Amino acid sequence: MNRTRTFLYQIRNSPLHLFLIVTSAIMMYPLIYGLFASMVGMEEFYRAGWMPMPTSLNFINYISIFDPTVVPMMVRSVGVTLFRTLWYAVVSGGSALLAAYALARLRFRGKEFVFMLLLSSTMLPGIVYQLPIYIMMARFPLLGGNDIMGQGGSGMINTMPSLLLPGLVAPFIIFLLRQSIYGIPIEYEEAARIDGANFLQVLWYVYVPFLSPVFVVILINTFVAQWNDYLWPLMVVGGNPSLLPTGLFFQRMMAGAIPLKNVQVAVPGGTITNIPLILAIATLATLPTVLLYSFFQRYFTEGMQGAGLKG
Amino acid sequence: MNSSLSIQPSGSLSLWERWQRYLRQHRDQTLAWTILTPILIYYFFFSIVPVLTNLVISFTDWNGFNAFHFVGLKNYFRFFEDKYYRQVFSNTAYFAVVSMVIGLPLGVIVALMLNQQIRARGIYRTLWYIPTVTSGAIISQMVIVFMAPYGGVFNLIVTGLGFKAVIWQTDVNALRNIILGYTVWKGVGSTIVLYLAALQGIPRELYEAAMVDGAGRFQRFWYITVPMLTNMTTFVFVTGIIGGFQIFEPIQLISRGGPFNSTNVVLNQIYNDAFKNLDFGIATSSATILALFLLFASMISMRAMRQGEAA
Repeated sequence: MNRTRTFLYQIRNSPLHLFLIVTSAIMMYPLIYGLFASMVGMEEFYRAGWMPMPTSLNFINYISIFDPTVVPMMVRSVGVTLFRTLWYAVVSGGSALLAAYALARLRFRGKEFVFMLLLSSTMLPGIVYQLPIYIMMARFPLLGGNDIMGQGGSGMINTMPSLLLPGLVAPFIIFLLRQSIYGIPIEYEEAARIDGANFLQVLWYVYVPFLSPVFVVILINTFVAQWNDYLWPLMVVGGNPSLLPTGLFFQRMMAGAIPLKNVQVAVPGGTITNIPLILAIATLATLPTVLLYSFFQRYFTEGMQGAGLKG
Repeated sequence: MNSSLSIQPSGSLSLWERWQRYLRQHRDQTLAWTILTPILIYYFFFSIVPVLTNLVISFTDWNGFNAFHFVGLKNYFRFFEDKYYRQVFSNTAYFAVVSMVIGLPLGVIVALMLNQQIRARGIYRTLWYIPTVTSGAIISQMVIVFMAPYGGVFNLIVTGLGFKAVIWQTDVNALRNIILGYTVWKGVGSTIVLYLAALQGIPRELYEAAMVDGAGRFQRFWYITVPMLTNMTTFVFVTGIIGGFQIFEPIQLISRGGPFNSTNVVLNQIYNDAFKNLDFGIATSSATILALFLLFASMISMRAMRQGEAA
């Protein structure tokens, strides 16, 4: 009886499933195509049609990427990105927790004004901040060969600080954490205070455990944003190959700006581009964020809903 | 908390003790401003100063290095009078609006489907969201590979369907469609997640009450679901327009604004003006115009939606 019902239920939903399977496949097509094409040789690729089918696990293109001359650069780029992730997660996450606590739980004058002031910066496009901050960094006095008037050198451009200084106060994270703190009963804090906990202890032992799903979301979002960051690094470290974050590094590698063997392959009558190799770079550069998101997908929706992000 | 406060006539206290007593009495205020002062100082230098700097530079002819002259509103007039900039702006509007017109209904439809009690909906949701966590620069670089005249998958599909091969790099309409496809592909995931959160926030009781009153499937959808999604639609629309006007990576990498400026967008032009033409005056004034336009557009649409809701 129950089995019949489940069967009928599935029949009723099958057009829905059919639609979702087809559309999801279309959404995934570019990435699957990239993955499959990266695992075939050149000849096979040029013979294949719209979907090259790897007959075996063929990592020849990945071996080409992990060339001894390229690996140190890649490690450095990933290192820069991971350091930025950690730095932004800790500094902007930590400052946002403090600010969110103050804005959610403390009584003081000007609270709403401060909150609106912080949030107002999310209304404007990023470029309004990026150009002037670029100039502030390039013309910073007495750094990078600049004189006291900020002339003559390049300031902080092409150095690490330019990748670490902007955007440390993250209004959206403050907003997210403030909303989440509202959802935590204040009795927990009061109980901890009666037991003699001070402000920092309250934050660490009462609020942080409750907020840990939100922090997982913040950490993953920070990683995804840093891994994919492109425009700002292009502006400030585009001229320094040793400081390229991954988004810029792998893009340049695909564009041929980072010397890699076997990118151009000689054929009778000239050279052709080794497309499978380029798609292998793309797959390698895309995999970390996709895998991380897929594993922690549950946290995303929970974190969002916990933050009261409902219509 | 204030148990340590003994009642003493304030005259017998030293200045230090009085200060201590003031802090204790205003514990919330003190703590809040201790937290917020450094954050607001940082915010001042990295959010407020840049916006003002941007405004000041927009009235000059600065090249980013040497002395500059104030030129009044010349840059602003140039943006509106020069046919080139007008085209850049209308291209941007085209991409933002058309990708919204496609992406928003698509997002709503998929969200409604994923809101049903069907199997594997977590997997579908993950698949639809994955494009959102990929790198714009890497995907753009991948699209360039797809556009390759020989071995590019776009031509394989086109010829496989029986059409003539396209020279993608010079075909304006083809390039526009590729960029629109990229934008929808990358953006629809967040629309779905937001709508799913909104759908799950609708109280079950509303549907149950309507069923008791004899409302059909369509009536329930039209009189409960649609009105409950209005706020989210406003949010998705406003953030979508703000994001759509800031499209950059696919333009900079895939089409480079060409052919003949026909796919150029504001952000790409700002980048070129600042870093290639060394004209920070026009770059910052374009940024100001973009910011003002987006503020204006989001205010108008929020007001329009609110009136629609009241009617």
